[in-house]
Amino acid sequence: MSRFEHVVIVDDELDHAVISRLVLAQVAPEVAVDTFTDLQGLGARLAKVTPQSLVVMDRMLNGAESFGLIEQLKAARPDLTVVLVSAVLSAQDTQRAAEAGAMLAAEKPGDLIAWRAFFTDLLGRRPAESGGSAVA
Amino acid sequence: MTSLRSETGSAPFDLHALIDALLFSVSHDLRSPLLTLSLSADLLDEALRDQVAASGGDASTVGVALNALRHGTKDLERMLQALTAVSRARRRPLEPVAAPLQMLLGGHVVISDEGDLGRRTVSVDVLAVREFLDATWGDQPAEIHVRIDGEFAILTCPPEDGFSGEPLAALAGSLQSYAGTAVQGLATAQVMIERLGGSLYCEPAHTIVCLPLASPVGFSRGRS
Repeated sequence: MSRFEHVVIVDDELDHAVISRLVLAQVAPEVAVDTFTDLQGLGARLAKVTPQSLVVMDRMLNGAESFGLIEQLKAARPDLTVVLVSAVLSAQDTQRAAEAGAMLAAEKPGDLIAWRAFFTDLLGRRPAESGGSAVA
Repeated sequence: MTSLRSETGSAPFDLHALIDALLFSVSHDLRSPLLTLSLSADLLDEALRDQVAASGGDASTVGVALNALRHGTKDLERMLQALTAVSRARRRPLEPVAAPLQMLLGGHVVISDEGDLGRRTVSVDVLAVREFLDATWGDQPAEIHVRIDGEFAILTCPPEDGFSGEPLAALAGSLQSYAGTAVQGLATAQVMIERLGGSLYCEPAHTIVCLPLASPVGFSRGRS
């Protein structure tokens, strides 16, 4: 049984979002997954997602960093758990993610096995086991 | 600050800031679609594994194509990681303090004709320099010759696989040749040591590291 019944993937790269949804479906078929790839009105749409959802948010959205968006989202919807993922992540980025309210900041895994482990841990285990940097 | 004025006569821009932004953009933005390619190759591999095995394994058309896709993505990943490493070295906050040379070089065999080496201090970010020393020669004590020349402590360290020249220039000149090699580690070290006011270059028989001496009075802050 997953810790979350609903996952929202926010990524402006459609292919990556689709693959993430596919991998999530393999790992936890019982979890409902939404993908937000169109960033227009993103804040408003995120504010309406299912309570207690897990939001997996890309760090760069249309060339802009998403730390501010995470901060706004957590202020409006503290019930949501936000995880920031990025192709490249520094210690400073992890710190910024923590300050914005993300539960975890992690580099996107480089292969399928690692992605499955990442999602499995996110959905079922403690953040520290997921291979990312727990920030809260 | 190195700045250029654009041909339109608009405000000058900082060339170093531009390079930093470009480095980050390239290392981050190109890795994202690369990850998609890599994951797609893995998914295809899983989906077609039986078909590949039945039609001749890795020698089949699909097997050859999948292997080529996988090797290509790994090679790109290796080169992007090198850019990421340089980008991080350029963006890493550095806090130079006056550090005794003997403490900085602890664990290595230090040879010097300088009589008062124990009291000599250099202005460096201790953690950054120790990370470089440990990553390069950490598995066993290295023989490091130290001399003082003007405002610098000159460290003559063991060579790195016969490489000579400036590692950063070599890496920038050929990611294909040097990404993922020891030269990449030297290149990132060169970035940080130059930010501290020193230099690093390689000769066939030695790696030369020049660290700025600290002000003799109290703790001094170096350049960053």
